[in-house]
Amino acid sequence: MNRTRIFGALFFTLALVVTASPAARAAGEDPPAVGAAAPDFALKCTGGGTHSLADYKGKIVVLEWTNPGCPVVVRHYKDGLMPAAQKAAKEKGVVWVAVNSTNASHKDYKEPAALRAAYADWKPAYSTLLMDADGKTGKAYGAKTTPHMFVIDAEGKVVYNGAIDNDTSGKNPERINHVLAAVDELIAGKPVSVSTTKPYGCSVKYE
Amino acid sequence: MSKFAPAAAAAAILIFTGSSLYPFPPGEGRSPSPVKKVELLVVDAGGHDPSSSLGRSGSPAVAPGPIRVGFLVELEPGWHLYWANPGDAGLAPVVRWTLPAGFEAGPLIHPVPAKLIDGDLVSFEHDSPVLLFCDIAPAAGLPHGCPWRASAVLEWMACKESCITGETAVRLAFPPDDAGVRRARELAEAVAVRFPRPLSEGGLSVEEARAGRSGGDWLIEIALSGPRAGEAVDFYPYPLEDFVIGHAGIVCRDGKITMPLTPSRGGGSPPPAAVAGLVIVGGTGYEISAPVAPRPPAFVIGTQTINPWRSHHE
Repeated sequence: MNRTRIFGALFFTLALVVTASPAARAAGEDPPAVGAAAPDFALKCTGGGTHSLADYKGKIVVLEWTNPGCPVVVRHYKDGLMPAAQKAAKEKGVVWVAVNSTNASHKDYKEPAALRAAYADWKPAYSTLLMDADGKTGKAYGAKTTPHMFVIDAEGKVVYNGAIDNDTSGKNPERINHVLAAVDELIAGKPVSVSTTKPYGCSVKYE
Repeated sequence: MSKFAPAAAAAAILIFTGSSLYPFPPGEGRSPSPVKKVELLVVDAGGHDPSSSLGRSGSPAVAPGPIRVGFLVELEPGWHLYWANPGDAGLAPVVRWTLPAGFEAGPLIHPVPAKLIDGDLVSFEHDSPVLLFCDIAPAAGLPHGCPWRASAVLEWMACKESCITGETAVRLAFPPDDAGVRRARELAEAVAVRFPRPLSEGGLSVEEARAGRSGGDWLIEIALSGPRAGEAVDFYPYPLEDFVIGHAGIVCRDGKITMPLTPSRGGGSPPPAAVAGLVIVGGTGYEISAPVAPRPPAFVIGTQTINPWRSHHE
């Protein structure tokens, strides 16, 4: 694990304890700001074949960073919130792409068939589940957590970057699903009012 | 070995060890909980205990204050909890109280966290053991020394290589007995150095906090003053509603803190009314909270650009 400790809480020393060098960003530019073009990708699907963002040109696309080893992801699927959001979005013509950027040496990593099977009991309704074990696509988007959501408009621009909703504990029945709100505004031809929120969950397990 | 081992040797009747519940991924079996133990203890009775001195009327000689309690969390080796602002990932612990009528509990009070950088991710973490304080205001008119009971559920996310979420139920009986008070006091004294201090104790003050535009984002600039302003090495921000903090972009140098913020509602949003967090100086975290003033826009006279804020303060 590439983690650098900046400040020790126990002894309050200023000494830097470097456990390893930080991971380098994937080749390319900084992650896109809201309003900028979404980076293209070509990733292998757990069901076979390769999918790229260009395949969905002209459609609204939701990207969901996911890892079934993360309890926050598990909660969203077990409670049915994520499958329900996927189903609602797809019924509106949205393409919902789940991406797993867990590196192959991490204990949460699963081979494509096993990864697909991990979600089966939760009845997911995503359009496709893609493998990004080298993390290049995750880093290109700046995906930080699982889940971390991006909404891309029909012109290929990022219009939402952040959390799936505003309910970090999963106990608020009045929760607002930011992704569905953004999709509804896009379809209505309105600007996305809440375009950036803080994603919450486990860190993406990059290599 | 526990960092609180000497104090832990004392008995404590008022302390209840919690029971935990946590979910686990299907098909992987139940993993051992990373939370070994949670205890809830009275750290400072606030003058409400029977042993506090009484005046002639039978009321306390000194007006009683809030009762400070502490959640003592012990984790398995290598696991950590998160600060009030977990950073780019993780979840801060949350407490759900069941208190007697009229009682009110304040927010969790955290020790200064460790800052971890993992690639582009910044997180603020607590190593085990973790002591989280909470101040409880008893109901108005509560008779002096009146016994009461409370319970709490601590919701937590603990991470090592992977993460586990769960919750632990704990109970509290008041008043504490003498042994419990002694142990709690020793614990509190042992960890006092880990908690944030007032800014004035660090020889620091906030000269001003300004917000300037940086594309669609805001760039907050906090100017520190005082004899130790130049020794400030980092800033750990508290969470800001309606903004995403660019933790990796925070810079603290030469008595000035800069912090990028992305507004949730787009570039037309005003800056936050105030920012708060911990300034790290000499290994200690000092609390700051500062109102944010908009940075005056630069204006042009002839061919010269005049920035009134820069000309006065940089």
